[in-house]
Amino acid sequence: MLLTAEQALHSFVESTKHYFKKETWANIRIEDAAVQLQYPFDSGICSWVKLTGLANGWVILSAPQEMVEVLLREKNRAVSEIDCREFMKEMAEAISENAKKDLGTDLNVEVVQQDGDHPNFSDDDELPVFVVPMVWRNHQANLVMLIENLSV
Amino acid sequence: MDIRTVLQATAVSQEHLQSLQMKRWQWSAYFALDGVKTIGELASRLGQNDDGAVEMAKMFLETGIAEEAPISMSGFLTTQGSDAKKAVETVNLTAFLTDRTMEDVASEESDQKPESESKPKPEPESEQEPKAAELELPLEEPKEDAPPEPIALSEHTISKMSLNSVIQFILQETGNPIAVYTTFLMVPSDLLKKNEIEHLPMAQEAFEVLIYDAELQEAIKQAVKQKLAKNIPDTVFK
Repeated sequence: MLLTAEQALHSFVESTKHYFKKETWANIRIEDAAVQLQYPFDSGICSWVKLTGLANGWVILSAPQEMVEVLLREKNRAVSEIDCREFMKEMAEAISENAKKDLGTDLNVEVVQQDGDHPNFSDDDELPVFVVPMVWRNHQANLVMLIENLSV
Repeated sequence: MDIRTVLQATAVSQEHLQSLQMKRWQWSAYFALDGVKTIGELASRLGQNDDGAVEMAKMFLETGIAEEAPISMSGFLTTQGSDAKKAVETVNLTAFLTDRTMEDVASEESDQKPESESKPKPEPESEQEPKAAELELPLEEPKEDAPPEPIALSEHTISKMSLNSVIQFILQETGNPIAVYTTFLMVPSDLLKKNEIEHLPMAQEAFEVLIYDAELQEAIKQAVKQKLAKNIPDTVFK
């Protein structure tokens, strides 16, 4: 039995794997996922995807700046902090577009374009999250799912 | 102090921290203090023995960068394994055998103070004389024709829910780790927090977490039933 909402959310994991394989010619390794009862303290660059419909909440893609810089250099692009943030949004858009193919019409996704258009969680917030660690060339990025409510 | 001690970092200034000199593994342990892991666990993960754990904890306390973390009974039972389990079952059995509630027993145990504090000292002149009531107590022979009632232990033993088994059950049923997350979204976070559960043991080889709190057990049962349309199996209870 595979639950619809969970299946939809899982498509983000598959889409992220697909993105890295296609864009970097290197597989990303998915580590053991974890359910934490606290939003993880995040020191990397984040891009936010808003979910509405079947599930309301967020998918957050975070990566350390060094990892984003490596990705940008491989594409012969500038590596300023603004460039890194822009690139993370592009990555989130590509992953979301890909995921949409599996989502159907019940789950809507929208990449947040402006900082401030998403909640600012801190490590003090007690919000259960699903964290999928992803290792790419010794850098660890995280795909974090934060669901506020779900249609069962 | 022993290796089961649990510490949490105190609020200290950056200047104070920067003034300290510690070994690399001790800094690693300091930044991993979470008020849940015992100093033994932390030291062990960093390749240190029990003596190293205690030495480290003493230094943390002496320098004021950490303090002993208080722990609730349910948190203790969830994290401390079989010794704690035996302790609870002893209290429970005592309550059953004496026809008192667990709360009565716990209350009486906590009320026990050193004799000098809890009882007035006897008058000097009567100190050497045994009380009459003690002398007159008849010694009853056990009656062979009246065996004691069998004790239905199973009804009075606290059932323990294995959180790991619940998670493995959800994974078996759904094949999707996200279902574990969405199931536990239906369990009140404050109940999990009360039981000092900060993350769910997803891996099969994860350290076993036992839940003694009946309210949390019930919340998990209901969440699983709602999500999977199935009752939680009895095998998750130990």
